[in-house]
Amino acid sequence: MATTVAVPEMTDKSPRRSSLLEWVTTVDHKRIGIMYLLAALFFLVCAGTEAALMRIQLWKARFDFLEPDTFNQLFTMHGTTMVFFVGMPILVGFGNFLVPLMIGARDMAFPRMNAFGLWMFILGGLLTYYSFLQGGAPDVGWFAYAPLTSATFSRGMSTDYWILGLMTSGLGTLSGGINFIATILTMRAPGMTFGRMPLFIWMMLVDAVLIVIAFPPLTAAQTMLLLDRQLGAHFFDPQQGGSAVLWQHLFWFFGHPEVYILILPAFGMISEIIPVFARKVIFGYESVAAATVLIAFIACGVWAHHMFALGLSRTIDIFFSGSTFLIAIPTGIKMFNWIATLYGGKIRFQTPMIFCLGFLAMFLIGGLSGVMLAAVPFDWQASDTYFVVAHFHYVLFGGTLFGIFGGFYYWFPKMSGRLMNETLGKWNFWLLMIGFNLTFFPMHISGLMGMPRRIYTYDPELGVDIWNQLSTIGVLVQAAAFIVFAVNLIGSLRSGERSGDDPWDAWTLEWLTTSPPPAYNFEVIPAVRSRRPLWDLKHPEDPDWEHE
Amino acid sequence: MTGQRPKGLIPVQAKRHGRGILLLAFGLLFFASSVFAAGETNIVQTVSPPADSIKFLFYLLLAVVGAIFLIVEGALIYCMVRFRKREGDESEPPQIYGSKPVEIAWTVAPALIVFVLFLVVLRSIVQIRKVDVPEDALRVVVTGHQWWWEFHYPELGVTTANELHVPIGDDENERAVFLDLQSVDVIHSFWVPQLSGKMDVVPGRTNLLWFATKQPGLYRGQCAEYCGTQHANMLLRVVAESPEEFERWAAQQAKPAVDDPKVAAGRQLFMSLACMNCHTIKGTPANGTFAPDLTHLMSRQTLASGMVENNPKNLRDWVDNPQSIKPGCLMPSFQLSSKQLDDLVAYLETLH
Amino acid sequence: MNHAAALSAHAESPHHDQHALGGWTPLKVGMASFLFSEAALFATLIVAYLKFLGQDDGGPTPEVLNVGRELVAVILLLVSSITVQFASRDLARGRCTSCTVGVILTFILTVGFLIVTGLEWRELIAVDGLTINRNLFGSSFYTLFGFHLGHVLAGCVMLLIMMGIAFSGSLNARSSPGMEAIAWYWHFVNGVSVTLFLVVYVITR
Repeated sequence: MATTVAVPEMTDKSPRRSSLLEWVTTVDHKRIGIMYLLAALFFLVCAGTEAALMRIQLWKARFDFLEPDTFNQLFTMHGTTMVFFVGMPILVGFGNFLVPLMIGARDMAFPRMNAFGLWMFILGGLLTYYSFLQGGAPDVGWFAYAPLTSATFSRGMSTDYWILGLMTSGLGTLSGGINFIATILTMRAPGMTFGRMPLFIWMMLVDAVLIVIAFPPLTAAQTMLLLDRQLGAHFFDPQQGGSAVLWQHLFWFFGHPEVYILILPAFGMISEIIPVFARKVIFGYESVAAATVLIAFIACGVWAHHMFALGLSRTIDIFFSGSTFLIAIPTGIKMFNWIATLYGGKIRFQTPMIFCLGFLAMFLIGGLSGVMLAAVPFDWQASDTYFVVAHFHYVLFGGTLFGIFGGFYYWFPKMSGRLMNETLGKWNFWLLMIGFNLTFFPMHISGLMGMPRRIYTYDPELGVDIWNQLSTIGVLVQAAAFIVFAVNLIGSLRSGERSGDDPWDAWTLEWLTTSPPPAYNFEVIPAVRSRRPLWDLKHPEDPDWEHE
Repeated sequence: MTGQRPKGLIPVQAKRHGRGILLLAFGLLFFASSVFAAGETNIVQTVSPPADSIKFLFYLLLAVVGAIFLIVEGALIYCMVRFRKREGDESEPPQIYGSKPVEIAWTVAPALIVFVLFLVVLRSIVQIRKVDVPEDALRVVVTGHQWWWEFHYPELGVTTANELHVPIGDDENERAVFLDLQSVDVIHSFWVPQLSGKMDVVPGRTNLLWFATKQPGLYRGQCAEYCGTQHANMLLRVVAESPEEFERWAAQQAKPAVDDPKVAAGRQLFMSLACMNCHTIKGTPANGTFAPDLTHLMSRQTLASGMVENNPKNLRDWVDNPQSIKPGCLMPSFQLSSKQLDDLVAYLETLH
Repeated sequence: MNHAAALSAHAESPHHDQHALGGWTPLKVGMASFLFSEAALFATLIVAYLKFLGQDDGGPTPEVLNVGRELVAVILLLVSSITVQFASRDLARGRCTSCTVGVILTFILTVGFLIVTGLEWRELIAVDGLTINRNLFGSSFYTLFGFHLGHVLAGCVMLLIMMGIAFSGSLNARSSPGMEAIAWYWHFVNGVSVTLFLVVYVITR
């Protein structure tokens, strides 16, 4: 068989614990992927703690728990961490682990560059956090609007740490993006045409393209800011003719695609998980893939909807309102496709699946409040309030994070060879679901009642105490959910039930190999002729390729 | 239960998800009504055309997305209940790969909805973002500072801080107020929800915002764009009063400060300390522009941009150590002796 | 049973080189993606330059730029694009010596570019007083051309590495894909140089 690629002789048959050094020096995509996940979980704990501290401070009007500067550092670091050191690394980590396995490859295209990306991300994260020891963390907000970031208004080094930390990790992200593109375009198993790639692979490919487009403008803008601060350039200094508006354009030209960079891989995960647990092929594969491409395309033309209150011209407002409404259409298509996949299925409510169903229910709310915010005049009231905070947490927490949890429960057996505990998984889900809604739903209301975001305290006259207290209680419930997850993760790693190669009776190539997979992934590189190669194998009487 | 579901169960299940949808509907209703009822600083207790227009848009959006929410969430719950795996049924369901007509339908339907919404938005933007300023409009130059507001009425020669006085209109005369928004440092955002949506206050440019009200009252707001340490306490008050009251107020504000010889010691102190470098008191050598104009300080209801009531005790505490009231604010403590404090506060208290 | 083997067995005659995407190796795709991101970077900087053009109240304007000298610099780089292409082609055909000559020529031309640019910048700084903190033109000009210069220097490092390989005697056809990637990068950097020349020195000056 010509597709059979020679497999290196295994010298080490007996599984043994690998040393730390082996992990640190590895270029194996699976280990790199897992290290991405672990490092991101560490930063998740940091960012979660920051959030909890903020919620305590906001327990009641004029509460005196944190200094204003501390609070401002906390929300800056919470946002920065969640976006750059939690959201993206987790998704890149899953991508690293899964992309070669799902396309039937032995590794990523550039294994050493892959390791480089991981360590740049970790270095960037640590560099940003090191600022805490150097006189205070950045306190300019995660989008760091000029001229608050200028040397005049942001003294000390904190903003420079923010710039350098993000540039460093951004370099890692960019190298990861390039690696995904090269891997997916050139290393697919024989027979895996574009039309047969798993949807997760589609989403990772589009995600990587967005990374390649969106990160360089951020790097350029951050360089300009650094030159302003360190060498006295004038890019963002209005006193010298510079432009505060330019920073916003450049930042959001990165920042909005970034939102889709954070959600697309989660879309990909649930597009893999929902069909398996509904026992039905994804409904409308072509339109889900096409909608993804369309979303990426439109995502590059909606950035100024973050700037409706900036007083740009009416024409600009109208254009970006239109493009933002437009992006609701492909997003809606996906939503309907996922629900249609459930229709007529035989749904198994195991933990990965209930997280995906939670995703559908919660992301819908975030999507709909997004449609509301696309209406410019409404945005003039709601932008920069807790309504927006609620909106993007429904998207990035209710969406991305629920998807990520689904992914953890679904692929943990492939990574470790063991199943995660179902009972704890259900506890994890329900606590998170309740805690999440308790925290973020009231924020819609406090926002519309006049509470701006990023305030360390509020006036009693605002009348939002009760809604803030609900939010704070919600964080406690969430904390319980995360503890349950941690217990489940560690416990299952030590003594979870053995999963076997294919515990979910799934259909994509990663379930073909052992759990955990050997370093070379596949003994024989499989050849595929449909989107669900394992379905074909299990159902020779009714293979997929007859229908595609 | 076997693979085949007994027929009798159908109504029970229909009822179950019916109840779910009902619950969700109540949730939404609760959401809307709570916004309605509580607090005065919210986006639905409106008293000015731009805010009214946005309120209408908000209700329309809420109705549309509410309906979509109920339909989609209902479909989701229906599928979850109806198509759950039955005990003992291990067979695979029929595989449905897609359906062109269905997919076209659910592409076109949302497209139509957002198109209609877009048209509504278009009209609303043109209504609210006026570019022509009416002749009889009151113009106020609003300058954002870290962390307080300066209001300058160029036609009236009045400068004040943190409390914006405007005249109300009546049915014949709208009395629109047009604000020219500027910043001397970082980006702020002017937001009084009951009057209008927010508009950023950006260094290097002048933004225009307008409102008009027929209802006298106090309308609260605050800075809505993060602007540094005390962003949370950059509060705003708009006092809408009858045209007569407004004229009286403006006439009083236009006068130079009272010069009361009884408090000459305090006045002397004010001029000899650094106070005068930052503050202006009309009719005296003090003409600083970094900090609020104090010419008619005692006519204001609050201190520290709305943080505390303007009374003798708060004033004294503030002058003694501003950092204890508003940590991080740009006014330093001058370490005054008790006697100096008494003199200074006595002087300030004459500035009516 | 070996599932993978089973999958391979019943797959329709697999196209073994289907994944090669018509000669697009992973290295080429990776390099193309990288250059695409670089293009986005320079596009951003050009936008910033154009945005601030003519916004200054005082200080030097683009009038101080020396078009003739910059033209020489750009031509030096353009010629080096030709030499690097020859070097890459020669190595692909196994002609290591002539490849080495090509790399050295490229390097010399680049040094020429650096010298001319150095003269230009020296005059801008010393005679015209244009520095990065002088005005907006200075800020955006030096940032834009500084980024390009950084890329030229990175290219020099790549050329030096190729020379090192050549002088250690280990240059052979196996280095060819790497050399080709360097040539791609070099063409990109020189394309940027032409673009910057046209935008800054010709069209908007």
